[in-house]
Amino acid sequence: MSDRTDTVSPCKGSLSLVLHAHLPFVRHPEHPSFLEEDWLFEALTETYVPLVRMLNRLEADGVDSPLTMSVSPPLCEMLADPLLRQRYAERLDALIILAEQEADARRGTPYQDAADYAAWLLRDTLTLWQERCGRDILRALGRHQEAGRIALVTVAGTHGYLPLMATDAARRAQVEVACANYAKHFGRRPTGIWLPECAYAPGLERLLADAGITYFFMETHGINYASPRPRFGHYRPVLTESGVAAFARDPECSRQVWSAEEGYPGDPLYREFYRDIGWDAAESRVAPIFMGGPRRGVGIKLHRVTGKVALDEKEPWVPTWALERAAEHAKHFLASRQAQVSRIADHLGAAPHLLAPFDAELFGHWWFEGTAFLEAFFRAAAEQDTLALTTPQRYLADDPTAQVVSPCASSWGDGGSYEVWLNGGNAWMYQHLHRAEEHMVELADAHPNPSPLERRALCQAARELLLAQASDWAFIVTMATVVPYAVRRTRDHIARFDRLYRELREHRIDEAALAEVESLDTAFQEVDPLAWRTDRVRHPGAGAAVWSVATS
Amino acid sequence: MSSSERLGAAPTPPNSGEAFIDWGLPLPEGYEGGRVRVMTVEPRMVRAAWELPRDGVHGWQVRAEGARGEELARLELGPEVSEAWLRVPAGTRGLLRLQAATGAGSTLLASLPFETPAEGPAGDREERWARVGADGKLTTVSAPPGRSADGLPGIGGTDRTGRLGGASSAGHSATHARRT
Repeated sequence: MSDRTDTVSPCKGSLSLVLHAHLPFVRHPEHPSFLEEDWLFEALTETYVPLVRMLNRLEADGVDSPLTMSVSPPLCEMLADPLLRQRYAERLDALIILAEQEADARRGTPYQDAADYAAWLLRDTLTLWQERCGRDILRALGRHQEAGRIALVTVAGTHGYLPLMATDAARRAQVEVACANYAKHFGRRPTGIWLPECAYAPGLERLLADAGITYFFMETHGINYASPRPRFGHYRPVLTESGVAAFARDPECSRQVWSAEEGYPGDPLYREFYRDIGWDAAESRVAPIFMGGPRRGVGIKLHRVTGKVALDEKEPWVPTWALERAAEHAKHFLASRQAQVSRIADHLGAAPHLLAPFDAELFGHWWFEGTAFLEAFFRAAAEQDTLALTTPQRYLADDPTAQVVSPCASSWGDGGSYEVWLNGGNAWMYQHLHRAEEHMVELADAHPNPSPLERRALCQAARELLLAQASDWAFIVTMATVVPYAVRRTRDHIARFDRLYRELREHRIDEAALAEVESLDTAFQEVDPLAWRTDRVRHPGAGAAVWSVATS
Repeated sequence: MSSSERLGAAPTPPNSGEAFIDWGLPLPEGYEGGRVRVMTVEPRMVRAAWELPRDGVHGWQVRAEGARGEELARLELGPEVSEAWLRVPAGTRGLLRLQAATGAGSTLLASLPFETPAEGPAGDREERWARVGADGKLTTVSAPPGRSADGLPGIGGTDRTGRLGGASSAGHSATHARRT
């Protein structure tokens, strides 16, 4: 890609499309079926498998697809988990039966196309996931990365909110856990990282540099409010003193896809999310999906958005219309970005770079036609040369010169700071999280050469702390969605950690209890509890927005 | 020993006719050793939280001070309180003093220096441009041509639309409503 606008190249600027794929670690072997495991199954069917399908098709047609995807360690662990894979296979089998029944029942009605499409898609999902991917989505994504078609980046540990951690060791450990987990699943260390919730505090980049990370992503004002003031604002990546590059979100790109008013997903022809045969069909037909659990959506949807009408006034979804509209929107998005980079290039006298990050699950899960939109976007982009699609890694390789600044503390939450994850509703969590961090450091320092049983207990304590630190729990409390589940997860992991802490400190490990917790919280088998040791900390205070004083 | 006994699960409540919500295992009521923590919430707010003995304490005074000792915020709180949310200026470095109202009035604790983020673009426009060498260190290079982004969308502090706010709210609710 050209560094600057010139008269030879028609390329006016570049764009990196980043999809952030994350779900908290939800695995409940203690129940035959668990409501929150649906999060993974739905995302697999509607987002992750369709993305692989898209990448395979683009590969077959020789279309460049420089997509950057962050895949969080908890999501990696779930995607690789044998129990969850088996449960997903069973869910798909049950859904296919239900979808085929629905297709038969809808024959000759205005819903026939939608029902046939749903049945076909589920059958194709099973074939792709089970037979072509060997039930291993990570391997499929890794293959596309190895071929240079996409870039996979990691996400800090368990999506822990790094600036609100109290200890240097805990922040460092989240980064190290992320890198080790990435290496386990993709066979090499990562070069890029998605900071959970784009939460940044000054100095965090030093921890990233130590881990071999070369770039990360930020909210817009993280760069625009940097010091000194960046000449190109968020329209170019910046370098930190540690040599790690930061790319900031372009709000104009986001708005066109995210916005309820201006965004594409609300188009009347698109599939309606909230109308689902899980609610519409006779209970006896959908009951096998729920396995005794509460009635809920199953992901088979036959209606379109229609307009601002009540749910019972929604009209039938017509697949061909919706997919044509997705292609139109992709062309519109491309034309808008071409116009945007041309306008900015004229203003700057230099080629801008746009970062367009989205939650991956927006595409396919929330916006059903979203993956079709992405595929059409890549195909259309390949036919023009005003806008170069790139990845951060490619961009830095092509144009390594950047302004050196100190970014500003920020996140991509409402208000741009930390208030979504720290407010009157969830502040109680931090007393326990911070103490658990300190206790983990104490344990790691006190057990430099643990016995095999102590090591098991230390590893499990580390897992419990990591799982408690997921930013999802504080977020759910703020958004008042599944609050009891978020509270329960926080309390369970802290309590399990606290028990292990006491047992390790008092040299009386209950091996049976340990085995039971190990069977429940299985993530991160590779975790190294010594990652929390004080002597591993090289940058005191780096990335902190918490300042602690202990009394004697 | 049952699973719930071994893991210290919260007891199942008596059948009261109300739906049972599993709030999880009980948490410690307190921890050994005192702590005062200051946390940045947003550019104009910090949260102070403390775990200290309350014996003989009639109340707390929480005072945020700027770098030159000037008072930024002060709150008088009852003895049962253990946290405070203080309004402070953006882009501030300061520290927090926690005093117990016991009659003696002595300072119990001072926090480590905290800082709040800037709320707008920096005035400093001095530029340094660099590349990362093979050793991972920065090598200063000459500045590329090009003009300031001032005046473009999102530059200059007028657009702080985050993931969850303003125009992005549809995407936010889309992403996380899945968890309902």
